[in-house]
Amino acid sequence: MHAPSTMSADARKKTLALPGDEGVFFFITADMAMFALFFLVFMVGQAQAPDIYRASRAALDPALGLLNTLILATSGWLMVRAVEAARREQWSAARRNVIAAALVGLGFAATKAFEYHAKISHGITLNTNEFFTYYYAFTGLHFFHFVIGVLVLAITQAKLAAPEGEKTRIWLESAAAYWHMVDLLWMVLFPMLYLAGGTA
Amino acid sequence: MRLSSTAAYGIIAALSISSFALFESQGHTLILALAVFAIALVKIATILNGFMHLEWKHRPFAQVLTGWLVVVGAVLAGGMFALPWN
Repeated sequence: MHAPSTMSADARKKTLALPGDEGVFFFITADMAMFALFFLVFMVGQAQAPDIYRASRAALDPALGLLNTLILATSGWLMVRAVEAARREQWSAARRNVIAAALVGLGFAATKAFEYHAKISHGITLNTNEFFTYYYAFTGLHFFHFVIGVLVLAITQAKLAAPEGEKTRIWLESAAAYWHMVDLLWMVLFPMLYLAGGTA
Repeated sequence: MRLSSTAAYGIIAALSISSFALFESQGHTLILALAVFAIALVKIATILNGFMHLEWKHRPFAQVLTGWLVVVGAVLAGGMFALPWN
């Protein structure tokens, strides 16, 4: 005979609950599926014209890609710290960490702006070849997600200035999940565009 | 088991630097390309667990995103096998 569970229905529901809003996780999943298709398209293109892709990849600076990876990882870590602080109801600490995450994240924008400027000033544009069409399209779309993320973080820090308990915590967790998706997609874009596949 | 956020951050940063250093020092080979992508997938799994706090009990999202990792891993590996390597 089993002992009756001591966990209440509410506690069980809370244990199983997603860290954030279900709708946001649905969006994240759909968005990631779209990027998976992009990765497939890129791989097919690369297999059909490897020499063009390798020669083009040589024009990219992997050190900048690494820098952006570390910036996004650091910003993501600060967002987790914000979520952890909010779960302890330390709202001021949560807000400080969200602001820090946004400020560190802005380093990604600066690096990307520098990189785009360097490419364009050397005449490398969206129309240069297929590799750079994908490079600008994928990194541009990723950057668009990044910009939305920064706006979400700005709204989040404002909400944390006047927290409303559970409601604010769920908002913060959802914002963090979105921000981690931006980070996560870059973890594939960086090796795919800058590293693996070889250079000529 | 959930990784602490600081441990996850340390793993992601160390793996990012390792894959870059590996790429810079060892040149371009199929094995290296596969290793770089394998490292990327480990980093993603670390973000899902240590940053997003997504665990197996969070169905269906944990299962779907794990499936995404497998599919993307296959796409990336397939793309590398399709390339000519010297």
